[in-house]
Amino acid sequence: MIIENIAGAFEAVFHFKNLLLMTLGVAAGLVTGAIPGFTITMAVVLTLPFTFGMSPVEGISTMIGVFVGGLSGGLMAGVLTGIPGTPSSVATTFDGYPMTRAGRPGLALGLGVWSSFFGGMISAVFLMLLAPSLAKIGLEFGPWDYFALVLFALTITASLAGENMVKGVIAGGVGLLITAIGEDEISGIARFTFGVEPLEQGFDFLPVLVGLFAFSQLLSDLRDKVRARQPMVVSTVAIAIEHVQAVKAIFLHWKTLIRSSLIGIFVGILPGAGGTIANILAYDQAKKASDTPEKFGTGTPEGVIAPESSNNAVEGGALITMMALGIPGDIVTAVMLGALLIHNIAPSPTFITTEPVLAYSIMVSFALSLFIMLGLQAICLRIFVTVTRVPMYRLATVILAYCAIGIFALNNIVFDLWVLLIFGILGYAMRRYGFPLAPMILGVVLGDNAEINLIRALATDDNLMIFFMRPWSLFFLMIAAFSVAFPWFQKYRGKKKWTLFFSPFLALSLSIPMFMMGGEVRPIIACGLIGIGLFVLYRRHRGGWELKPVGADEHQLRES
Amino acid sequence: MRRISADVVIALLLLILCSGLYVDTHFYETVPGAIIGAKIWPRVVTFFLGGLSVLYLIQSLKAEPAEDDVARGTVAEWFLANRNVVGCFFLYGVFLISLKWLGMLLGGMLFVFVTLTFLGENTRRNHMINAAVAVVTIGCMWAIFTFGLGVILPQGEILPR
Repeated sequence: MIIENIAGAFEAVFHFKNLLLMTLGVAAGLVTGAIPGFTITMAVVLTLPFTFGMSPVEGISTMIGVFVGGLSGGLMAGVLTGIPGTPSSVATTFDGYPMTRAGRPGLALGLGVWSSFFGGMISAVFLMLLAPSLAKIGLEFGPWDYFALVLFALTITASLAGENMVKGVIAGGVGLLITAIGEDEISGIARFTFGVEPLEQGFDFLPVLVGLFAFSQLLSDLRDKVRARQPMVVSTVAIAIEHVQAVKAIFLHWKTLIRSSLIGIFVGILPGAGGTIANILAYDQAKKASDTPEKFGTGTPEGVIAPESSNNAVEGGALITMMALGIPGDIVTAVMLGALLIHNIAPSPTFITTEPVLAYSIMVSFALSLFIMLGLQAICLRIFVTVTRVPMYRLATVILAYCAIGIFALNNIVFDLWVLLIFGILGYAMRRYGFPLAPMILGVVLGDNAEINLIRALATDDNLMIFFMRPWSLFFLMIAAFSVAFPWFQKYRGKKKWTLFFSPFLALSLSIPMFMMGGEVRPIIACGLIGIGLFVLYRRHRGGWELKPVGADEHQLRES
Repeated sequence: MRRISADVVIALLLLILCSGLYVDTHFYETVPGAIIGAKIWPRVVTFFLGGLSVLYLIQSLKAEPAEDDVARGTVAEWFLANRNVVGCFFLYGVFLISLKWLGMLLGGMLFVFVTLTFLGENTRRNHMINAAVAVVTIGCMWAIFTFGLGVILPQGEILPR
């Protein structure tokens, strides 16, 4: 059965039209990702209107192509100019750019390209192995558990906003509020419409998304009059990528590659955490584990391998969560989830069993995109050099017009264009006043799911204590609580005594729902968690509850 | 006198919004036989958002005003600093209003040309390039969506059908 499904997926993905669309997607992603100021999310969002007329496999494959291309494209600008093309390439510039200045731009690009490829392939293998198993766990979820999972996804995304945690949760709340507007699905009663007829249908996902992300991003780029008129990047000369040297260097540092890829997969699995975090985290860990940490920042190969392999591995992890649980692992997968919803396919724990060909097609097209990316990198490098000579204001204006055409194509109604404008203004204001957009998008994507599951839970039993009595629900609520406290833990780590109890308490607390789950493996995991928690407490007790200052490296990374 | 920070204003606006929305939930009818009313979810969300807004307000009142707030000038200065953004939003709004008459093709070209002229340098060469960019890009996009994807874009009243 599995082989049949995989064969079906290969047939769908390797169809000529699909291959062509994926190639175009990867090329577009490579160029867009390389342009500073244009994010990968924006590229994927702008691809969405083109996917309406495509089959689900073609649409998702194209978007995966854009995403894989975008992740790899970000390194071109970072390595050649020192300005990261996307936030997920920030750490790549730490060693990529010094390597270019030292006269080895071809090697720096080669290391980046091949690390991206290997990191992506490792995560593709994990995707194929883990997603079906995780989906089986997802089948255990009842409405209480699913609602708690959504809550966890929102809190962890908001907690990534750091000290702006409250603003992050508010953004998530506004996202939920947006989905509440319109007719109630069960009773058909209009909510929050205030007599405005077009609001009765609610807001379509796409105009909201494009407005919040693309529209507001473009206008933020145009705010500075002088910078908007300048070419985006000072042009660079044509460079030959040193493939053989790069692959040799990567095999020499295979441990860095594996470690960083695993970090990327783990970060990808966490809802809301994306390539930016993985990129910096992998760089930090590579530096700590290296025999020559002093060489980091001067153009060492490990400094390019670690961040690039991890940021490409993120997507495999994010796809695992999306396909197995119906929860987007990052914003790009949230957009993909939205694209699937447009095609009337709702990812859930049953997604892999109900849509096996599509599920395996996602996995296959992810792996295939990496090969296409390798082939296109050299060509797109030339296009990138040309595109970056265009002033930002010209590109941004044309894309604004494209947004209008693309959004109109969704439902053929002008009201969607007004929604785009209103959410563009809202998104711009949120950016200006420090509200993160990621939790809001997650709120918009997951709002309906949250409502349906809460209503189902309450309709079954109005006892709210059930949320704390069911193991998975308790598990998610506990990690949601710890993720809420995480920004304070980060802030006071090394300064306040209570931070010494944070991680052991997390381990000890999570052991409770693990015990409640029963079976054979989970109680063993629970025992392991208790062991870890007690061991950490014992070590800290032996150390006299001494506070250790946070390392200088971490300070430097946080600043950057 | 201490100035009110932008965060305080936003928190207050959010509180007013949540209160208004909460009051609105009282007007939803209950469908006979329904176990859970249509008002539950909106109330959960408004309570949640309202609670957070109170927290945000307290946090903002306790915090020192940010440098941006202290250095904030007059409304005219704000407009000058955000000239490009306000201008683009305005032109986009005008473009949407004009769609009924101009349609997507003419309206889109005009929007791109006017916006490029507004944002770019005021030279004759630049105007020529802007016009070419407007005609070529919008023309291509219009053709792709109309003929390639089969989307019927607004035609407007000026162009013959």
